[in-house]
Order: sequence, then C-alpha cells, then structure tokens
Amino acid sequence: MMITLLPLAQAGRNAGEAAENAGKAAGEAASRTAGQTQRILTEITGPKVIQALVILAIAYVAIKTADWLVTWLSERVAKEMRLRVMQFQPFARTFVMSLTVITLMNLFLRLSQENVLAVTGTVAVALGFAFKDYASSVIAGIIGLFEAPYRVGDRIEIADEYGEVISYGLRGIRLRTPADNVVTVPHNHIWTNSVSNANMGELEAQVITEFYLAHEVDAGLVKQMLFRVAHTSKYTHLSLPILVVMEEHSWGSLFKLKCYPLDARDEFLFKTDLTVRAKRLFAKQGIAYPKRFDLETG
Amino acid sequence: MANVVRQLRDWLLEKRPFRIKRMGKDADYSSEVGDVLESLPADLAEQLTTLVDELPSHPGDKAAVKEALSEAIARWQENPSGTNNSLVVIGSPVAAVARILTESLSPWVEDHDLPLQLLDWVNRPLDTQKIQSRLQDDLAPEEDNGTSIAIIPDLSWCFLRTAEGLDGIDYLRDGLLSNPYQFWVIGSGQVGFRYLNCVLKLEAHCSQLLLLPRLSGEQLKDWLTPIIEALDVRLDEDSIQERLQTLGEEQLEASSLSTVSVLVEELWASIKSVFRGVKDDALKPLRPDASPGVEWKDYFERLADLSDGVSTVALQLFVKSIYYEEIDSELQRELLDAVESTEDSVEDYIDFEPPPPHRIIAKLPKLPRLPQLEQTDLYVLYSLLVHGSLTLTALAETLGEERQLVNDAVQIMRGKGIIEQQQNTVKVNPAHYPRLKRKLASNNFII
Repeated sequence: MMITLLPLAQAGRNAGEAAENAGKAAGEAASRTAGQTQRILTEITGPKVIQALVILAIAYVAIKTADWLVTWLSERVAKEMRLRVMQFQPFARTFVMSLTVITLMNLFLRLSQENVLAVTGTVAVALGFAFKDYASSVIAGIIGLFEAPYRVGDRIEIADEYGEVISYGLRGIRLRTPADNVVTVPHNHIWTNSVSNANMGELEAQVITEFYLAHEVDAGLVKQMLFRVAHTSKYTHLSLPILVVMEEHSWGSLFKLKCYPLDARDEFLFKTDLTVRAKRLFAKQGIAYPKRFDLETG
Repeated sequence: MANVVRQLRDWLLEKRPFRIKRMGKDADYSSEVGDVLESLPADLAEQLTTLVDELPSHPGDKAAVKEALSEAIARWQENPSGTNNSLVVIGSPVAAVARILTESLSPWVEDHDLPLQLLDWVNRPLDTQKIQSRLQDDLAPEEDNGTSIAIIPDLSWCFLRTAEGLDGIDYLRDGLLSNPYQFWVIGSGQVGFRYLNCVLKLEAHCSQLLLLPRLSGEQLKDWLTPIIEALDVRLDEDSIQERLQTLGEEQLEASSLSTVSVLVEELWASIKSVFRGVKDDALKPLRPDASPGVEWKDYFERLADLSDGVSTVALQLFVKSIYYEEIDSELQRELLDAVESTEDSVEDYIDFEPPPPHRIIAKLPKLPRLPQLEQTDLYVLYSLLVHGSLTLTALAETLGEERQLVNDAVQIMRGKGIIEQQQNTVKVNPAHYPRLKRKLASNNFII
C-alpha cells in the first residue's frame, strides 16, 4: 500500500512546485508589466488631468469653430468656390484631432524610442482585436482625404443610401437624405464597395426627372413642353445643357428631362418644381398618362 | 406721328410713375434716398424730386439711340429683308428703357414720314396667355408689302417667365421679326434680354443690338449740373479727408464682404479716387485758373465708377450723397463781418448777397451694402431683374410659389431696402443694383 502511495505523493509535490513556479512566473510577468507601464506612464496628477480636460475642451471648441468658419466662408464666397472651401473642413478636423492626441500622449506618456515602440505594439494588439473596424475606418478616412471618392457637399450613393455629404469625420461621413435623415456611413465602406458620386466636387449635379406618359402622346409636343418647363424654372442653371430623352416601354413612353440646378442643394426642390410645372402644362394640353391596366400588365 | 411717341412717354409717366419716374420710391419703407428727402425742408425736397423726375434722359443715351436708328433704318430702306429689320436697345434692368426710347424717338419720328405701330401698353397683360393675341392685334402689319415701323418700348411687357408666358416672344420671333417690310425698334432690359437669348436664341433673330453706353464721370457731371446749380449744392470741403477715411473704412468693411470681387471693386474705386485726388491736389497750385467745376470732377468720376455708368443708379447715389446743413446765425454774422471789414469799394457792397441760412452739401458717394441674402432671395431678385418690375401675383407665378409665401419674402427684403414696392408692383432698388449684379453673377445666374 505504501509502495503504491509514494509515487502519488511525489507527483503531488511536483505539481505543487510547478504551481508555485507558475505563480512566481505570473507574478514576475505582472510586476514586469507594471514596471513597464510605470516606465511608460508619467505620474498622473490632478493638474495633469485638469490640463488634459482643458486640452480636450480647446480641441472641441477648435473643431466646432473650424466647422463654423468653413461653413460660413463657403456660403459667402462665389458659388463655384463653395465646395472647394468646404474641403478644408475634414483637413482641419483631422489636424486638430491629431494634434490633440499627440499633446495628450506627450502629457501622459514618456515618449522615448523604446516606449513609443512598446505603446505602438500594445495599441496595435488592442486595435487588432477590439478596434479593428474603427482603425480601418480612420485609415480609410485619411486615405479618402487624398483619394477623394467623396467630399463635403458631394451628392453620393453609398451603402444603399443617397444624399449630400454634410460632414466628413474621423470615422465616417454623414449624409443628408431626401427624407432629411442624417445617415452615418463609416469610411471603411470604400475598401470593398462602390461609391456613386453625382458631382465629384463640382457644384453642378444633373437632375433627371422622369415623366410617364401614354403611347399616343405627341412626342414632339411633349419634348417642347419639357424644354419650356426647364427654361422657366427658377432653379435651372441655364448655362448648362438641357436634354430630353425618351424610351418606349410596353406600358407607355418614358420621358426624361435632364438638367442642372443652380445650386445642387436644391436638387429635390428642383425636381418637384419641374414635375409640378410639367403636370400643370400636361393637364392644359390634355397629355395622357399611361392607364393603370397598361402599367400592371407592363 | 411724333406726338404719339411723346404721348406714350407722358402716359407712361402718368400711369407707371413707380417704374418710369426716377424718384418713384417706396412710400412705406424708408430708404437711404428717402431719408435724404426727409431730412430736407419740404420745399427743397419737392424741388429736388421735381428736378430729378423732369431731368431728361441722358443726351449720350439719346444720341446713341438716334444714331443707331438712323443707320439701321437707312440700311433696311435700301434693301428690306428679314435680316436687317430690327434694332434692340438694351439698357440696365433698373433703368426705364421705355422712357429713354420714347424720348429718343420723339424728335426722330418728326423728321421721318413712316407709318408707325406703337405697342402702347403700360404693363404686361394680366393673363399671360393673351400676350400673343394682343401682340397680334397691336403689331401685325396692316397691309401686305407696306413698310412700317413697329415700336415695343419695353420687351419685358411681352413675356413672363412661366411655361406659357414665353409664347408672346415665340410669336414675335417667328411671326413678326421675319417680315422684311416691318422694321422693329425694341427696348429691353439687359438681364431680360440675356435670359430670352439664352432660352429662345432671340439675338439670332435681331439684326442689330445697341447696348446703351456706360456714362463717364464727365457725362454725369454735365447731366446733373442743372440740379446742382438749381439747389446750389456745394461739395464737402473736407472731401479729400473723408475720402482717405472712407478708403480705410471701406477696406475694413470689405474684409467681411461676401465676395472677393466686391472687395476688389470697392478697393479699386477708392484707389482711383485717391489717385485722382492726389493728382488734382498736386496740379492745383499749377492751375490757378482752374474752374470750380474741377472740384466736382473726382466726385463724378467716383460716381461713374460706383454706378457702372448707369444713369438711374448714379442719380440715386447722387441724391443719397447730399445732406442739408443749416448755418447758425453766429457763423453768418462772422461771414458778414468779414466782408464788411474788407476794404472793397462801395459797388462791391451793393452787389454783395448775404449768405443763405442753409446750404446743401454733397459728400462722396457710396454704394449701400448689400444685406444678407439667402438663395431663395436671389431667386426673387433675379426674377425681378429679368422682368424689370412685377406684380406680386406675376412674381409668384414666375417663381412657382404661393403668392403669400412670395409676399412674405418680398416684405422682408423690402424692410432691408433692396426691394421697393408701390401698391402691388415690386422692383429692385437701383442703388443696390451694381452689387446685386455681381452677387448674382457669382451664383451662376445669367445676368
């Protein structure tokens, strides 16, 4: 019995030693990490925290001021310069944010070469797991500043949403949709998805208004009326081309009036104005619409 | 026949004073020009208003019209064709081109015996669908192959920027202007004509265009001298000082102005004023015999710069620049004492007239600042410039908005002084036109 129990006791001792050694190693690792952290972090004092809060407040005010200033200026310069001026907004925001992060790091971290490497490694691991998408969006945003698939003021279609880019943030953009909703779309969308941009930094964005009419209408007369409607709308940019194109369908004729508004922001009002004017004219001239039956069977 | 033209002018003055008269100001809202009139004693204000309204159109404009008309009609009479049978006189949208045209034509028609067809409307037909039929009734040639002259004093009365409001111009372009035996004299505002040309290619159907010339400082001086003499307007003695101060102030103001072009325009006018002033000051000792008129030269050069040489705008800025000053009795006595203490002969005392108890002084002219305008305001203002003047209902039609909404916008702009209204008719305040024109041009409007 004794013989059989000895190896077990030996094994238990060994296991205890191993656990002790593991505990020691963990303790040493923890103390090493604590030491490392202590080396990297400076002493966090009350004044430093206050200083950091002040820096954050200043950064917030600076970003808001830059936003306001850029918007104010863009509304006052000549219209063709409006979108160009608005492009300063994302640059200004990125600059202020980067400056704030560097200042805060300088305040709380000892930024020696070793420490920077250590912090970068730690941050990289953390980001790799927790903030992967966030980092991806930030990087896409920085690249987007230079590649410019969209800019503030552009009218784009992205992630099944269409609207005007009203803000370009660090992580994503904000779109104002025709329904007046604001949709936030992260920048990393541009890595793998397409972005359809209607004006690409230009002020002009073509508006296509569709009119569904019956087969028997006089196409020449309708075309003439649509030109007249475009020529008399207050929103129309008269220096840019106005086109009427037509397609035949089984249910009737589709007319498309293609023209540009003076201000791309009036796109939906422009479309409404053209439709209202055209419908009024069609009613006066007895222009027929496709019948419901035709539409259902078509 | 000349009487018909003169009668039309008088009729226009009577029926459309707000549009045609030069001082047809908004009675309900004070404007800078209105403030000047209010600051004057009633008799002087009335005298000034009468003088301004009775001032004939600038001789330079009239001469240009007469010369162009004589040449164009001579060419047409030699070889009547559809390609040389019209003259379009284009003026500023804030100038009453109908008045300029009728005043220019009256004496010319007296010397020429040609059948005349005059579009004697005083405004646009209320129902725009009837423009075409009314044009047909009033202007279609009466007999085949008989030559005649048709006159449209203001083309803006023949269209409205609505889907059906351009039918009249279509008819004019396709049906009337192609008749080789009818010569057309048409007056039009510049913005309205540019709009019609853009959408209907009207210029291609008009054989000759006459853009009324930009008036120089010298021309404005000659034109306004009767008013200056009648009211004994004196130029501010400290004008040079004021000019230098104005330069600084305007630069500061300009720094917050809407566009770089406005800044450049302000700066350029001021720099030119200063250079002229310095040049004149430097030359003054060398020209002891310089006439008093020389002092006004700079004033009028600046007036011409600021008004873009448009007579109506220049006139508004001129009235805006004058103010009334009463001379206190002490100063008057000092002046009398000074005269009495001189050792002049008795004859001089007999001719001596005591100084008046007041005087009217002209400061350097300035353009009023354009108020803050939204995009919707620009649509309203552009529509007014295209048509010259509009009733509220017609304005609402051109904008495709409800009358009440348009009226709200108009009343707000009226309060800011950029729009003037009398009864139901609204128009742009001419004093704001030069800056408004630049603002609209920088916002993609065809102007």
